[in-house]
Amino acid sequence: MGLLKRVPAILGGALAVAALGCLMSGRFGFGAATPGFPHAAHGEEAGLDCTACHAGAESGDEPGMPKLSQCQLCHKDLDEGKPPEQQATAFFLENALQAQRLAALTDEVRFSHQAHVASYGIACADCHGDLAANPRVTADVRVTMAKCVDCHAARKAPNECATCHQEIRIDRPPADHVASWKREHGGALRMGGREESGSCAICHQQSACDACHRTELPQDHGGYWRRRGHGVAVAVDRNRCATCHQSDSCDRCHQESSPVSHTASWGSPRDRHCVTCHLPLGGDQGCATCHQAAPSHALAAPLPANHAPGMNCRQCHGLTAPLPHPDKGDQCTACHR
Amino acid sequence: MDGRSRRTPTSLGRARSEWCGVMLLAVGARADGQEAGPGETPTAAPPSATVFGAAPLPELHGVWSFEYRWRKTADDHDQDLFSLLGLDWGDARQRPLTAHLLLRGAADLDGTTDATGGYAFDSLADTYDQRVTGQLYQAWVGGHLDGAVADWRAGRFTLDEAPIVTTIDGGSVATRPTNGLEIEFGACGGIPVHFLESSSDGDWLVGLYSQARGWAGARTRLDWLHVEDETRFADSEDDLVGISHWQQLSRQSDLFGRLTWLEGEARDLQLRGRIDDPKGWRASVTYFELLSTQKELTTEFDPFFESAFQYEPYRQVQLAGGSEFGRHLDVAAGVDVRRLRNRDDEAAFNHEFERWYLAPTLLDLPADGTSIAFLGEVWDADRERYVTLGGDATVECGERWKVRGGTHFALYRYDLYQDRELDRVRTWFLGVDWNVARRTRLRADYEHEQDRFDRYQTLRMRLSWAF
Repeated sequence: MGLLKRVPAILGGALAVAALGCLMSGRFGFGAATPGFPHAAHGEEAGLDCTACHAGAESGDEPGMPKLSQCQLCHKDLDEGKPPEQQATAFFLENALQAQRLAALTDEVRFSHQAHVASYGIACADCHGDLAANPRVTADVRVTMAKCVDCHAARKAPNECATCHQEIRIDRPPADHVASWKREHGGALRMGGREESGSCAICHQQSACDACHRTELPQDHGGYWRRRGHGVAVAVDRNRCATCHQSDSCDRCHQESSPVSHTASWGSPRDRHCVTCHLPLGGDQGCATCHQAAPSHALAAPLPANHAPGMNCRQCHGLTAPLPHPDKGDQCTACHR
Repeated sequence: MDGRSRRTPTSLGRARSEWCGVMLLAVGARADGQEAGPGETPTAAPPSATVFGAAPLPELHGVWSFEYRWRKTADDHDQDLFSLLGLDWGDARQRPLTAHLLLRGAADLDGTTDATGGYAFDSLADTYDQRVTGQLYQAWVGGHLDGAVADWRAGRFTLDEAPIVTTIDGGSVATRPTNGLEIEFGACGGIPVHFLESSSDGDWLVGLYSQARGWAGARTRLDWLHVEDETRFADSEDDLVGISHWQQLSRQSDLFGRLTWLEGEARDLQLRGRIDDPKGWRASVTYFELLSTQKELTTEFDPFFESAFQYEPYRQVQLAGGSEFGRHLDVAAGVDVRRLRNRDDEAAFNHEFERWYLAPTLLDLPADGTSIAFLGEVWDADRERYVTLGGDATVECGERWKVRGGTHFALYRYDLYQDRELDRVRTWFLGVDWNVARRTRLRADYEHEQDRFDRYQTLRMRLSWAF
């Protein structure tokens, strides 16, 4: 019922997140905040070669993104009469290209167009696919790192991190893999889902993850923890246990072995076992956690007729008439009604 | 009484467990390419599967480890032998087929058990009849196709993208993302694997999902899971629907949200934001709300009901962060606050609490290759309190040796029989890592633990081979 009241807030929050995502992703260059360049109109339809606009792609390290003056060679006449947003100038701001560049590499990555095109004879389409027929640049035309690695592997080219990266190396962990990474990497992985696990796979094999998670225990999982401490922890926060355990592990142990507390006055005559579950009263199962064949406690003898409900049981049973219950009469009426 | 109330291991389960254990402990795995015959020079495996940044790996690679464990108290002792084998075959970027296998075997060398609770080292392994046990955690084959169905997997594997993480014996398929929204559909089905359940009779699971990338940096996923489970007291079946959204805001920041419904009733809400700044600081905020009372459910959704009873609705906020201070100091800290939606629900296993932790680490101090880490953590509920303090130091001695040592103190405060109990546990530990060869490592650890009931000594020796 509480959720019904929260639905508008939840939907509003979701919409806010979505709107924030759109806004932020555009601001940080992930979204289509600027016009997408229609390569198809230039390549497939007009028949222009890639180097007609990307003049430096074969002779330099950079892809030779065109300048406005270069576009104006044709578009000065072609764009006459068109609204500003449909002119070539819409892609530029003060002669700097504003069109979306999904393939832009960071400064940390070394890449030379000249080396790939002129030295190794790689064609534009080998990396950029059918970009000449692409009507609007979107995420699926990106040249991904996976594609680079696949090609390097196929051509027996070096595939070490240092081939392309100036800082990233297989023997040098990322900057965040220090200090508390052992504690925090689980949260980072859960946040990113499959995307994050793909990043981990750059350096780690699945076996390496399994080898640690199936052999390393948390620091506090020692002898005391196993015999008593975990009960305290699960009482505070059972979600922590759920990180590694399902209920079948608890059930099997609790069904097959006795807790360490089943000693001394656990049974008759002190019957301290009752107190663990009955005081304070809580839960539906009670002692059925462990006991399956015990007689039902609903069969407890009712209050005698001459006992008023508000009588102080302890006045007699705690002082003169002994009780096998460790509470000495405080909670008698929990069972004897 | 219910005939299913106490299950005994099935003969099939027992045979499978023994086979896994014996295979690991008795048979070595070779995965270094072709075997050389007598008098022949071994040839290197052809470079095929490739890992970024490393020399090409053999087609079959993984990790194989042996561990010997010795434990002792004043009255009891125990010796066990473990083995873990993880195999990876193929590389998804290079091959249409990949496979993964993860096995673990355990042998109780002295065979001491005691179901009365008087033996200090009673464990889950002792609930089986045989002294050699094994677990098959993962065993799957996966394919990557060029058609409409892009990915498939069959065998024993973990569903790690679903709203609940669970392992199944079955299969899954996923379609290729299509059109500008990269819409993808997937399905899975099989028998849920409950590693410590004696029988999987009557258990099965089926799931469907749909995923799309509506805009840049976004991923939205809709899941449906149907689970049937024969539990101890009754047969259960549950249907879970979940909607999840990941939103990457920048290279350093992202958001996540998930809302699930169980049997048509809202179950939980999870919201997270994270930022990881390249300047060396990171922060995350998480909000979680359990929206309805969770009682006896199928094992996948069960809140440990048989031990801890029902789980009452609550709200929890977690703030966590950390930062580097110069080259030598990193500090991580966090706080959790949980509040029950209804204060009257406070009970033995439903508590409000606050939790704080602080973890400063000194890096390359006092010398290069040395790190000193500290951890302080407090869990504070109404009647229970759990405090841990600890520190450890790691020193690299050359390229092959690493020495570790430290101490850990835990304070448990709880109500038992309405008396306040206070237990202190002090642990000292010392360890050595030795890179015997390029892919072989030997690790030895000694631990001494003292509480008011007993003193535990533990020695572990582990030999690992990465191939």
